[in-house]
Amino acid sequence: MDKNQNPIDATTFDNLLYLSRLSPESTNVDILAGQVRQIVDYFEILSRFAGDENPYDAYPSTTVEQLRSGDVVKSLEPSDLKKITGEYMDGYFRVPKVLGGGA
Amino acid sequence: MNICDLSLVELKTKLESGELTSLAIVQAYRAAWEADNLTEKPLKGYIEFYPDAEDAAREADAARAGGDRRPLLGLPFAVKDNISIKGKSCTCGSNILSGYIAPYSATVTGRLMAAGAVPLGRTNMDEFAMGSSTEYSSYGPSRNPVDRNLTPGGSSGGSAAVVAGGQAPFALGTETGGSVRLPASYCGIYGLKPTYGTLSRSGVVAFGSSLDQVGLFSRKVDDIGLALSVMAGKDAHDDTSADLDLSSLAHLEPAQIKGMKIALPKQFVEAKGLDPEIAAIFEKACAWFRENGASVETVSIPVLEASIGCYYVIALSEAASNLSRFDGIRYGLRKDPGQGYDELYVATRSDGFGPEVKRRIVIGNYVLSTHFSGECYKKGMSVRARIQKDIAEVFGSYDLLLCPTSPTVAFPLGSKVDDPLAMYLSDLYTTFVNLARIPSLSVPMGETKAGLPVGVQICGAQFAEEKILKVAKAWEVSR
Repeated sequence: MDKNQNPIDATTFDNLLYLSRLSPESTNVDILAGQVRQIVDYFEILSRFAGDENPYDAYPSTTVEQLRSGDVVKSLEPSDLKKITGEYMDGYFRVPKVLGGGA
Repeated sequence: MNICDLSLVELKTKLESGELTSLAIVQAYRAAWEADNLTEKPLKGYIEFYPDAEDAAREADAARAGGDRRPLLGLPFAVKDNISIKGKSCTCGSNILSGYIAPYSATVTGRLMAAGAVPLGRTNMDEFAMGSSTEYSSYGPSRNPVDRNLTPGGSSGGSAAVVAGGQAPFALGTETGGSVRLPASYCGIYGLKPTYGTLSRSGVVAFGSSLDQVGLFSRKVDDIGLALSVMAGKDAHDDTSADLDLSSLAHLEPAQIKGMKIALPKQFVEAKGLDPEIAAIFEKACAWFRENGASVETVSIPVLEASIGCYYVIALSEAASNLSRFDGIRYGLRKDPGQGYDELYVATRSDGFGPEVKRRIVIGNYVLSTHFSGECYKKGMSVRARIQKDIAEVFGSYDLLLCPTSPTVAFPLGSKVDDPLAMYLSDLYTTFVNLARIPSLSVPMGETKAGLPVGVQICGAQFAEEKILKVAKAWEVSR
């Protein structure tokens, strides 16, 4: 947010593209970087209003009555688990196959 | 009688009296869609008109002949391309989900179909609901039925276009920051964004999970009430869904306006950027409330000036997280250079996502990184907490909050597509509703001299859907 402290320079932008798992070759980096800087600058308006409120108050409030009870209950047995899913193999959940190999 | 001009409730009456069949209704909408596609500037509201829609209509007619009396039996609807229907494509207007078939139905579409409704087809949208014009759809833009050189708005612009253009009696859209109300306003129809929690999001592709909500489009208020009456209620598949019974909305009576207290947010109604013609129509709407015995007062809510910035900080952070699941492994498109996982992710996402989605993911990751942006996300959440508190205080003293849906009428296609900040500011008057998790209905309340529709939002406290629909009904019957 503090653009003097953390300017979106070319290195930062490369890092953001990597964090986003996007290739620099797939887009016009100069235009995209300029647009990102312009939009991030717009966020500066928040500084005029932020600070008074606890950010966690923005989450929906939950009352104790709405929570399920803290009683420990018996879970499924592995034998029952095997009956309700076909994605179970050799004592473990089967994961999706990727890149044509692996279990 | 033109079937495509009838409202959902009128179609229901004619189905129940035997004057119409579901098959005749679906065939009429298909014919309207096919005829429009042959015009010079087709609406392009539908991405796909389901080939088996008539089969579902025949089944509904057979069920009715057998004594079935479900509330929406044989009534058709259109659905935005980010809401699942089992066995149908669901691509979110994106290349990255090309070929993806939904393995289950969303709760909202499942409940509509369980009530007998017939899905007509899936509608166009900005890619992953990120946009205000449908121009960011990988299928190309939809057009506004009022003026085909203009955008229908977005991101649920396809749904608005097919309802306003007589190709569906009602449609589902989704809202994260105004994506139902804005296109409803631009196209001259009703658009409801319900309270966060009124409708389940199970089976709806996520954009900003603390903001997302399914919405509805129609040409008459009663139609939204009827559809909502079967869609709302607790869903075990979505913990944010509320335990509600909205079955009473199937029959709406006009509200008594006399004695109501209505607030007008100064920051919007006195804003410099508000189109003078929209301001004049809004003043007429306020005058109608006064003439009917309501007190209408301007209130100052300074934090609303930060609502659009706050919205984009939060929405884009959540989008960056939500869209990380599109990695080429589990869904849709896969581009594999054969060099490893990371290269597969990068190649798939770079090829599959369009420019606006990439822009938003990059900004979201910037905001989420304290290394780069410091306290940006916390500031956004702090401002959101302030907005929620101030809006709740307004509803402690007032029944409703009224403001224009948009500062401008529908804009020409192509005029903002290369200026993302200008596009974002289209949502200037809508995002506070999502941040505060309240319901809001965009009501078509007038036209400019050029004949372009203008919408006015009627906002209520959380879970006040019934109140705002009945107020809109009172306005509608007075026309």
